Amino acid sequence: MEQQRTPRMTIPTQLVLRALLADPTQELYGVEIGAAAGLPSGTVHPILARLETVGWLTSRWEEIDPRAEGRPARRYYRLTPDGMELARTALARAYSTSGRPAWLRPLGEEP
Amino acid sequence: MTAWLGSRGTGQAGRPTWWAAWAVRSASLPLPSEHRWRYRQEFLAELYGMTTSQQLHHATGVLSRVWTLRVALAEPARLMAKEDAMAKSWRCRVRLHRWQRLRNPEGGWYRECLECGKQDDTGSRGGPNTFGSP
Repeated sequence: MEQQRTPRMTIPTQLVLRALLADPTQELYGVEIGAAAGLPSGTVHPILARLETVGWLTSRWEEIDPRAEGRPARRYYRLTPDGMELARTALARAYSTSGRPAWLRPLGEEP
Repeated sequence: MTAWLGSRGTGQAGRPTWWAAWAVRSASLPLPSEHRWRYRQEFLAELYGMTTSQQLHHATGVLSRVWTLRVALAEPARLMAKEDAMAKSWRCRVRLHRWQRLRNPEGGWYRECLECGKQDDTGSRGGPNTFGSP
């Protein structure tokens, strides 16, 4: 039986997943994810790389004309349908451990 | 003069400064070659629209964590295997499995751990891996 691979559910990973799950249909680029998760620059990309490796995330280049926009295309990330389910389950499991702080509770859960 | 400075990337109008662009380009160098171009472009694109101080903060952060990114990109299989091992209960990690005795379709006995699913057919006739064999 093949076991579903799960990334390490560190607190930064949980914060990134929480930021992405806030609006799963919205695509965000690295700096936006970092700002939403409250994480410093540089912390987010290794987490995104791991989540992409296990298939929870997908990414694509922004479709713009760099000359018209005056900047290069950004890389946008979004949770996959499977990734959404797995992320919710993993977060719920992580939160179910004792002593969870209020800011790490699942979305919509009352204190 | 202003236009010339802007074209050299001095942070005017949300464009990256030359040193921030240099820093994030340098940050991509230790990455595996198949990922280098992608992250160089990604880091560079993220600098656009930032103030000079934000660029400094961002470039410093990217540079300081580049080794973590390299590990995440180069050795995901090793990290996942480690995670799988850590997910096992302590009993299974020290080989104190909670065996359950089961019978296969051929009538032989084998045992399976209730916690990690490990199967063992040592000493049994027709183990779990002999399904369908003659």
